[in-house]
Amino acid sequence: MLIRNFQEAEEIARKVGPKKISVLRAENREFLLALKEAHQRGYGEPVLIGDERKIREIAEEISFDISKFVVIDSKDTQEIADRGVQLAATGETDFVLRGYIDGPPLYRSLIRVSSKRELKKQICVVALMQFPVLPKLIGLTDTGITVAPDFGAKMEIIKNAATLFSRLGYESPQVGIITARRGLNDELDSVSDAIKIKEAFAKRQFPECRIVDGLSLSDFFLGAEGFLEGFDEVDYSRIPDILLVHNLEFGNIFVKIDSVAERDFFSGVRRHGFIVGAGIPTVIPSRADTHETIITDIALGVLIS
Amino acid sequence: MIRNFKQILEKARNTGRKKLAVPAPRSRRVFQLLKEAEKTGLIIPVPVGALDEAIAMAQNGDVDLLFQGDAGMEDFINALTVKEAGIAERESLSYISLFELPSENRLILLTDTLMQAFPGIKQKVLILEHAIDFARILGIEKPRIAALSTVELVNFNVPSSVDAAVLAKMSERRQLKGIIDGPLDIDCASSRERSLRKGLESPVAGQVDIYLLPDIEASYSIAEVLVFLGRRILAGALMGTKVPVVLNPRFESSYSLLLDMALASIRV
Repeated sequence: MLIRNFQEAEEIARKVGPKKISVLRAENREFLLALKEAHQRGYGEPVLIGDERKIREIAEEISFDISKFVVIDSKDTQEIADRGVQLAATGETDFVLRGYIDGPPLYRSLIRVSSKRELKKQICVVALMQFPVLPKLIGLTDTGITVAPDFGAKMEIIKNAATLFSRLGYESPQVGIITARRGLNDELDSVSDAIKIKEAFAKRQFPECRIVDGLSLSDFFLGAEGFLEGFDEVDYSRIPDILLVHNLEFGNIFVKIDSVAERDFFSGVRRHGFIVGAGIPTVIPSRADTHETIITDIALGVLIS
Repeated sequence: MIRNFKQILEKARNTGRKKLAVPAPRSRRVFQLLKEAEKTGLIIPVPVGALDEAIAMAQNGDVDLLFQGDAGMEDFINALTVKEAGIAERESLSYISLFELPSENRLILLTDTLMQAFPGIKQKVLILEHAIDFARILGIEKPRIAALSTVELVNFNVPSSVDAAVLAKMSERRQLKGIIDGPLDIDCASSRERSLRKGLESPVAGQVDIYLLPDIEASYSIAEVLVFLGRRILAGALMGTKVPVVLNPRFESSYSLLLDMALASIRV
């Protein structure tokens, strides 16, 4: 069940579900609308954590019968994150859906749980992106947590992303490391890290993914020496499955690149985010998302848990 | 005001043919481009045997423009910036990449997409001055500039946010000629609605002419993302040289290089 686009994810999730979902700060109309639809589709049922009074109010407004679901009343953001993550850690729920809370309290909860289990502590955000020009989904990482990961952190980030992709049906995902190597002033940390990462993977420290040749999109699409002629000559299937970015400065812009020209050349770009590395499947819709988008997040949560 | 690439070509043609020195052309890409640029009425190609010879011609004013041609990027920039060449200083070079926004009938500029790796605040001022000068050539008198970062608030762990805040203050005090706001993330910079939703009343959001990117990892790679994943033609301009110089970056198609030559022509 290799997922090539988000529609496939929604279809397969119907067969894989139902799952139990920790919903962090659920008192939001779009989230509850999405959970209602997700429940009807058989994706699963939520444990709703947040302001119970507001949750029940909104649920009634949208005719969502939540009488069978667990509702945990809390207004404290950190407590909400801790409770939701804890439920997933003990197996009472299958995955965490971030509702209307900020990243940092959730990161703290995830790191605490993973340290208790003596798992690796480098968590990262993987953005799963669908670009109309690409024949498959790609994962960008780390687009949300570590400002400037060093070599060791990058190794863990790659492993995290590969684990996520294996859950999405990729047997040995290809990883491309993006750097600013451009034949000029190339003494960059990104390049030296990339060389070390390639060496480490060549020694088969982690056979679950493969680092591809090349250090930039130009390298991936044009080869080491080639020049762009026309777009008809670009073989888009050569894009690696996972792209590692050097720092958050780049990752943050890449992940939102469609905002620069959404009415021109990036219409139809879609994205869904995950926090990976704590051993707790976690999907992170963005605040501006509508219920239609959040349903896909839930479907993806079903698939990776 | 120049609003698209077609107008750049027209304006360049109207300024008349320029003599363009090119060192040791040998690839099909470069030969075809020179032929096309000559046919279009942009240039008179002047093929020269060696790189330093081409640079000397540009320095002496024997030609109007200099083209990298088939010279390697590092070799070319080195030759351009040795003291004897007298054409540029390496630390003062910056590159601008231009894209068309058809739905808004205007151009956007990204900088520095090629030259400086991790510019400090002083270099960022220079990069911006170059971009502001360049915008004026396109007829944008008071460009709106977003100093990009990952956050909208100053965060001392994110150096670009601190730089952006300083640049915005400099613009407020009219130390820089454009209208600069920052730190802004790309989401807010590109949409007034999104920035208002985050509580930012920004004078540039949604109308940005120039995006100042934080470092080379972001800027070079973002130019590549726009080209490859957006399937967009771009145009480019090297700034900080005494004579207009056209580079030959691999992510620019032949048509982009033609536009680069047109841009260089209107700067003579």
